[in-house]
Amino acid sequence: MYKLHNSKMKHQFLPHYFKYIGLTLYLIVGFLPSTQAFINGFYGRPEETQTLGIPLIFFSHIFEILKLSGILLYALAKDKVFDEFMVKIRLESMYIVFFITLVFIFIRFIIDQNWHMSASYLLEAQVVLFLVLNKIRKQLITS
Amino acid sequence: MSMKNLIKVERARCDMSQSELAEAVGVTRQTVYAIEKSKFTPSVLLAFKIAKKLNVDVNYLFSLEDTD
Repeated sequence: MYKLHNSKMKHQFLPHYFKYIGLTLYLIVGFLPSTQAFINGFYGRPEETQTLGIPLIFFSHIFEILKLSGILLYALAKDKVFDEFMVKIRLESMYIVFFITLVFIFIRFIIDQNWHMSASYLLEAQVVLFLVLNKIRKQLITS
Repeated sequence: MSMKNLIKVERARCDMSQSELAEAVGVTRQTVYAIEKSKFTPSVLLAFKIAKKLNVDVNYLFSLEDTD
């Protein structure tokens, strides 16, 4: 039974170094469009102006995919020491995020029936919320 | 019903820190802390590992506490 439990865990999460890969990817990809937007805003240029020499297509769809991949890699990577208590906190955080998402969508739908939200924004918000909750809960339980 | 444990007492008897015990049984220091404070109930396997490391019987280390 223990072996089964352990092998499940091995397949469920990525090795620890994926945290660094994911975070680097997310920060680089997330930072470039912000830099371009800041430079354009600073000089009062139109939003679509290229200032970093990167084709605009990269600032939309592909960047979005890379950014989400980065944050997903970070979220799915194991901690340095990964034990049953960490798994418990992780699962509880996922459970809380799931209900927060449901309540948020429900309330938004009551307020505005025609409201729409991009799937990528929702996914990003969920992953960020999960990471923040996971960190806070770890700190709270062990303090 | 909740579970109480004597890990802190036995750890002190063995002159072991939380980090040392955690490393010996392959968990984080936070996990040992949470078990000691009864914030987390360990699996049977982890309970046996801790008892073995502290050279005590698992039934002595962990016991049920009637909270009603």
